[in-house]
Amino acid sequence: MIQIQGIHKWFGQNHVLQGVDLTIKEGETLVIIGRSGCGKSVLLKHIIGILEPEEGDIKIDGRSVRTMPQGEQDQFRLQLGMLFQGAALFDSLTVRENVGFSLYEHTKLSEEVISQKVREKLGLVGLRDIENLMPASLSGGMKKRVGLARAICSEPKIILYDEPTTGLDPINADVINDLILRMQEQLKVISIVVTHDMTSAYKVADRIAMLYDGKIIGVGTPDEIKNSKDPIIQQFITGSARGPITDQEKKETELL
Amino acid sequence: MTHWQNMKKWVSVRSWLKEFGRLSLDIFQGAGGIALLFRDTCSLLLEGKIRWKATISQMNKIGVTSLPLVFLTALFTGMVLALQSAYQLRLFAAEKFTSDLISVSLCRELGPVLTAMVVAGRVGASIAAELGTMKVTEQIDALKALATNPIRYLVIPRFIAALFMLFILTIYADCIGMFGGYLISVFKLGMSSHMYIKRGIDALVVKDVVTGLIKAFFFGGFISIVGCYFGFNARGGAEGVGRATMLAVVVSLILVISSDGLFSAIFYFF
Ligand SMILES: Nc1ncnc2c1ncn2[C@@H]1O[C@H](COP(=O)(O)OP(=O)(O)OP(=O)(O)O)[C@@H](O)[C@H]1O
Ligand SMILES: [Mg+2]
Repeated sequence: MIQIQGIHKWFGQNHVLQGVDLTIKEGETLVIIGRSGCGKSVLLKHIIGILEPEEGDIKIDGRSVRTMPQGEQDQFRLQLGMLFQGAALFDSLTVRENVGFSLYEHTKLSEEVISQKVREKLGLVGLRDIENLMPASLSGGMKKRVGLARAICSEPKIILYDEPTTGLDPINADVINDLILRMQEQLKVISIVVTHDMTSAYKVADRIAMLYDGKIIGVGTPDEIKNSKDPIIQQFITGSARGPITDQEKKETELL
Repeated sequence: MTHWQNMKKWVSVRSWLKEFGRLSLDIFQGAGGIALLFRDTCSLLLEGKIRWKATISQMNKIGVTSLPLVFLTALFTGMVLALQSAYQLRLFAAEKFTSDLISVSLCRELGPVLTAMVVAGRVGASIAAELGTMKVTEQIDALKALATNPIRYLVIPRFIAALFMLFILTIYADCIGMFGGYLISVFKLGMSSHMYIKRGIDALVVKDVVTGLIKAFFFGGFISIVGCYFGFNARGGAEGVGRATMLAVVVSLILVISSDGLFSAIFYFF
């Protein structure tokens, strides 16, 4: 279980997270939606502990990563896997070394066992025979999938996906959606998915949360969100250019 | 209108103060950040678990590939030093001291400082650019997410490699510089080969060599830590990486030159 309690984050003058509260239950897939630049990626980085909040706390299974000693922190981090928005592959390493990174670094498994696992994870995301390539020679969508293979390689219990289907063709996007569902059914992992793709959101989500103005303004099952009375949520999920979100922005630009 | 505003910016005391304040903040923040990175690096180093494979490959990158450049710099410095000092010493009919002068000034000063400057330009820049690119493409974040300490993974191999390689490059530069001086003294100034070598070596005392090598050690540390610091703190895209690279070279040069002054003062008294 992940408990996010009132976290605030500033980047200089920019108050990105303004008190986010969210609880993610065991074995649940939560989809986070929100406008571009509202802080979704920042929120994921807080959960995995790359960024630290100025206020508030994040507890995973009742424990806060920040208060752990360094050695334990690393062990704890291995239970989380994250797919970065831009894939963030190590460009000096081959695909095999990228995907198997945590195994090479943190286990004493033999080269063959690791290669075997790497091949298996690449298979899960629909890729094969690319282990010896460098990331620079992959297409954008392939990079994304290699990033996903790397995130799941250490068999984490919590997986964070930052826009897993953006930039993929519709077929591969659905392969990834299926993968997210399968991971949850078979391994009972907690998944947190950030996406702009509402089809994918409805398909994989147990619950959907909307981040707006640095706060979570609504959480609910896909049906609850679809039938939400909140005009902001309605405007977002129907993808309309007119509504309270754009009105607010217009007012702000006029004030300037 | 905008022209007037630009003018105003330059006359207003307030904007001067603002600039000054920002500059001081930047300087102190940088100094503090570099010191903290140095502390973290040392404490991780003491914990052990050094990645030797990466360290060796960095040694190759930092040391071996710098050999040609250091060779050229040292050779010509030695030659020029021989010519210029012979020109002055001739006034006192003391040309035979040329080789004393070359070996002492190379070992104490020029060897370590010139090597450090060449390496700062070449290696400091490449470290900052490499880590800066990793930072802006989120690869550093990815390292943390994969439970790997970026300092252990990236900084320590570069730090150790730079320490050892500057040490070795400095010895190499000392030798090459003396060889350059030899070429000029023997073939141009008509000194005997035996005389040049004998005088050159007799003039050196242990302190000359040791102080030069101590400096080299420190310069290696400065260059690698400063390069890593600015790389880690790059932000934005290509422009940010360019800025980080520039700052890394400038700051390591400043550190090398100013600490050289400090060391010379200290070694002068002890
Ligand atoms: N390292 C950082 N330094 C300064 N500002 C940052 C940093 N990371 C993010 N921000 C700012 O935080 C805000 C939220 O960024 P974030 O990347 O979380 O957006 P997002 O919701 O993921 O958007 P998108 O859907 O486009 O990916 C942005 O205004 C961004 O400028
Ligand atoms: Mg994002």
